[in-house]
This record gives sequence, C-alpha cells and structure tokens, in this order.
Amino acid sequence: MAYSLTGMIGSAAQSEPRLALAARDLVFAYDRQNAVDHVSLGLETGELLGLAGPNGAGKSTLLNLLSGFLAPLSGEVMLFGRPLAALTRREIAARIAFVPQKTESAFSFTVTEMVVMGRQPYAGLGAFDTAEDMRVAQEAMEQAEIGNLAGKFFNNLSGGEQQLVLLARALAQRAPILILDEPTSFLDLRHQWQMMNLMKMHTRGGRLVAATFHDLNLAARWCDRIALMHNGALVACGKPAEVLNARRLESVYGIPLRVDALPGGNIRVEFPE
Amino acid sequence: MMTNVGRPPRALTLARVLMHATIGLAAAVAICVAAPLIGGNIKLAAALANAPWDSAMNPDAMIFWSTRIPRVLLGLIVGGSLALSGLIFQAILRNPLAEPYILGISGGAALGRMIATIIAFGGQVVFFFLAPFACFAGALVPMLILMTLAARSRSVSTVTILLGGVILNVFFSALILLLQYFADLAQVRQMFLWCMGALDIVGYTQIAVVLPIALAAFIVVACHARAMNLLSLDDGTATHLGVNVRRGVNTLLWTGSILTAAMVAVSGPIGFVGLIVPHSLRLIFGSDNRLLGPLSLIYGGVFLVVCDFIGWRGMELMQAAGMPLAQTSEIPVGVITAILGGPFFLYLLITRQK
Repeated sequence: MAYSLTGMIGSAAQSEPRLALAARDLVFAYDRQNAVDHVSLGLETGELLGLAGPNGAGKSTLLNLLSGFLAPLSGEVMLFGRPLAALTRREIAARIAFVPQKTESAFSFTVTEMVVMGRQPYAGLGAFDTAEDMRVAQEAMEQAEIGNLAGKFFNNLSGGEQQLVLLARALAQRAPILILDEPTSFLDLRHQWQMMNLMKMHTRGGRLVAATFHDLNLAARWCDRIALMHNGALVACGKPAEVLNARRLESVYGIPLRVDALPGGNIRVEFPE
Repeated sequence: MMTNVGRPPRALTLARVLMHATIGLAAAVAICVAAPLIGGNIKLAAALANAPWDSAMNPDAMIFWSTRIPRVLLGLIVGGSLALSGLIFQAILRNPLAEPYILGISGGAALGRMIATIIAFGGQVVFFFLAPFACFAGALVPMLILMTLAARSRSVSTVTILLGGVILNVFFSALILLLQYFADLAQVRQMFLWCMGALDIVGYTQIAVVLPIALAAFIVVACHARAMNLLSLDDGTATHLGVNVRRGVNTLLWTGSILTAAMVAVSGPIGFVGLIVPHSLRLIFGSDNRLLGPLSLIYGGVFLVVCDFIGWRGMELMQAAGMPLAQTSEIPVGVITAILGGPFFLYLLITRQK
C-alpha cells in the first residue's frame, strides 16, 4: 500500500469497541410518506458498516440523520453518548466527517483548497491556513492518492477524481467517525479497491466507518456488518452472510437473486440467469 | 490561460493577504492623489503650493478640499462596498452573476429614497436623516423575496436570478416613473439625475455616515470568509464541516442588504461594480473569499474612482487631446459602469453556458 499507517489512523486507536453513534426510533418524512420509518441502530467504533437497499429505500436520508444534517421528526441520535441535537455544528464536525456522493461548485476551487476546507472545525473566526492544516491536508491527499491533482481545479476533474477529493477532505477533518454516501459510485475497479481498503484500514485504527452501497458483493466482502433497508425501514442488520440471503433479497429488490456461498465464509450475489 | 489549468497549491496565510492588499492600497492611494489633480478650471498646482489650507485666501484650494477630495474618497468607499456586497450575494446564492443591482436590491433602495423625496421635499435636514432609512426600507422588499427563495432552496438558478431581478427592476422603475409623473419639474430633474447614480454632490458628512457601515460590513465578511467558501458549495458540505448555515446566511444577507442600501442612499443606484470587480479578481486570485473580501473592498473602490474619473473628466480630456467635441459635460458614473457592465454581463452569461 502506498499510504502510511501512521498519523491519521493511529490517533483514534483503542482496544474496546464502544458505541459511537446510536439511532433511537428515527422517523423522517419529506412529504407524507416516511422516508425513514422507526429505525433504531447502534454503530460501534472500529467497525465498517454497509448500508444497502434499493433506490429510495432511505439510505441517504438515514446517513443525513446520523450526521445531523437532517433533524428527525421523532427519535434521536446519540453521538458518543450525547444527543446530537444538543451539540453545535462545530462540535459535530470535529467528530463526524461526511463524504457526499458529489459536490457541484459554482466557483473554481483548487483540489488543495477543497481539501484544506476539511480543517474548518478546528479553525478560528476568519482564520487562515496554518502549517499544521497544510500538513494534514497533504497527508490526506496522499492517502487518497490524489497528490498529483493538488493544483488542479476541482470542477475540471472527472466524477471519480472528485469523489477522491471529497474523501481526502473528510480525512483531513480527522474525525473518529467517517460517513460516506455511495463512495464507490463513480470509481473504477482500481479505485474501488483502494477506497474499500482505505475504509477498512481506518476502522482498524479505531474509527467508525459507515457507507451506503449498491454493489452488494463489494459490501459483503469488506463490511463487518450490513444493514438492509427497504421502504424506509431497517429490514435486517448483521454479518453479511446472515443478512444477504436469497429470499430476503428477492423481497427487498423485487427480482430473484442468487446467493452463492464462497470459501472463507464470504458470499456472492448474482443476477438470475 | 492559467485559469483553465489550476494554481500551485499554497496555504492562504495572513502574510499573503496583506501583501496583495498592500499592492491594492498603493494603487488606491495613487488614483486618489492623481484623479483630483487632473482637469477642471482651477490652477491646482499653484493653489496648493500657496496656502493650501486657507480657504478664505485661496478659493481654489477650497474647491480641491471640499469637493474633489471627498468625491474620490466617497468613490473608494462606495465602489468597495458595492463589490463587497456582490461578493456576499454571489457566495450565499452560489451564483457568480448575483449582484445587488441585478438582484433588484439597488432598485428597491432607490424607490425607497424616491418616496422619501416626495414626503420630505423642502425639509433638507429631515431628508438627510430620512434617506438612509428610506433606502433600507426599500431594499427590504427585494431582500425578503431573496430570503424566501434562499430559505426554500439556495441553489437559485441563473435564470431565476435574472428573471427575478429583471422583473423587480421593471416594477421598481415603473413605480419611480409614476412618482415622477406626479412630482413637480424641479423634483423630477433631481430624481432623474440621482437615479443615474453619481458621486458628485458630496461632502464629508456622507463619508462619515457610510465609512463606519462599510468597515463594519467588511469585518463581518472577514469573520465569515471561511463560511462563505463553504456556503458557496452546498448546505450539506457547509453543515458537515461545522458551519451553522441558517445563521451564516442570514447574517450575510442582512449585511449585504444594509451595505447596498447605505451606498444607494449617498450615491444612487450604481450597477455592475459588484459583478465586474469580484469576477475579475477571481480570475487572477482564485475563489477563496478570505482573499477576495479585502481585495474586493480595495479594487472595487479603485474601479469606481476610475469610472467616475472617466465620466467626470473624460470628455474634457478628449477635447484637450484634439477631438472635435462641440461641448463637454460630466457623465454620471452609473452610466459609465452600466456601459462597461452590460457587455461584461453578457460575456459571462455566454461563456458560462457550457
């Protein structure tokens, strides 16, 4: 691996997993229908949790509730034992880093400028960039393997490159919780591999990493647990091989899917013939 | 061009901002010294060499100190403030075409002042204190419309911005025309000149009123510059990086609107400064608002003083250079900025259609 295992992942290392984020009976609705329907879920430090389900199942909404961007209609989210609603944006941002699927900018920021923005939770009023900010940003860019893009304009990059920049920005945030919305959607095979390994590496350092996936095989291979959503509700949550069985997948996705057992306890989801 | 490739990755430090600001300030000082000395009827060099402060002995020096100097100083403040409010609206509306004049905020302020003119005509003292509040009251209408739009979804598209601004401006112009129709001739002439946006009839009192407002607004922008960078991306990004979006947007919207209203109160609606200056600065210095804030303030001032000088002395200098002009007169600065700004705006609109 090109990236080092020091610094970014070492700081949060700890032996005992503990509850980092806890959702209690969350409800959220955009119109009348519940987008997230009474979801309770506990997420521990050191785990990689994959959130799966069909389009419109409520995955992104749940992520936005967990990160505090959306406020639930009822229920609450606890962040390291404290209610999210009682914390300031800045306090949350120092603990939760969020990687959106994409960002559109009306203005031309360079990749470095975008990544340094990740230092916002630690910056004072109208503060300028410190040497520490630049060092952390540099390290984050190296981890995401985008050092060669540093001076380029974000808007001129491909979707996949932009996704890696957003990842680097979140890494520069140095938060113990990393939440990613479809982190592999624009990535080629090499970068999917790199993204998954990077996420896994950060969980070993003691971080909680939660992400949504459409590619169930990718999720099954790397995630410690998978939470499967359907129509806003949490259908199942547990080890990939337990959650992803053919009958459940057919009822959730509405098409017959084949689930093959692989040696080593892994599984493989296939389309029907 | 370099802007298509990128820029070397560098930290934005206070030292870098101060360096660029110092260069800008040097340009501002140079233009403020040069502009009042050129042209006009008085023999300035002689007047200033001989008893420069004694206005009783030396009426030429008095003209210099009491009209020409305040004119360039006000130009600096108004231009800088208009550029700064353009920068604010562009960041929170995520649209490089947003600008107080285009958004209809200047027009609203102008209408407010027109109404105050009708009400308080004859009472100059009352009017002097009334005008800034009347402008602000007028600016509130387009501002509240903007806030409603902004509250619903802040990714207000270019088309919505343009359409909303055009309609508001047409509406306000119609109301101003209506007021003029019922006003008497002396009032109409005064209103008409004022509506073109000018810096000529000023003294130090106006400067004393707008300078603190401009400085206060600049401090707000300096404190929110990082937040403006994030707000110019999207609400999710800003929130996830620790910015209280609603508070930030409200603070900045009020700041931009008060700033615009104050400037319209002293100089009339001067358009396009907030569009031309921040955009040109972005091409050179990038999009970081921590740098664009101070530079917009400085170069906005420089730009407006230059535009005012063109309108003020342009025809006179052309005649002196041998062009056959039958007569010379001053052109209001608002006309100059509009002549420059219209094509610039079209250029931006065309090049942004990808």
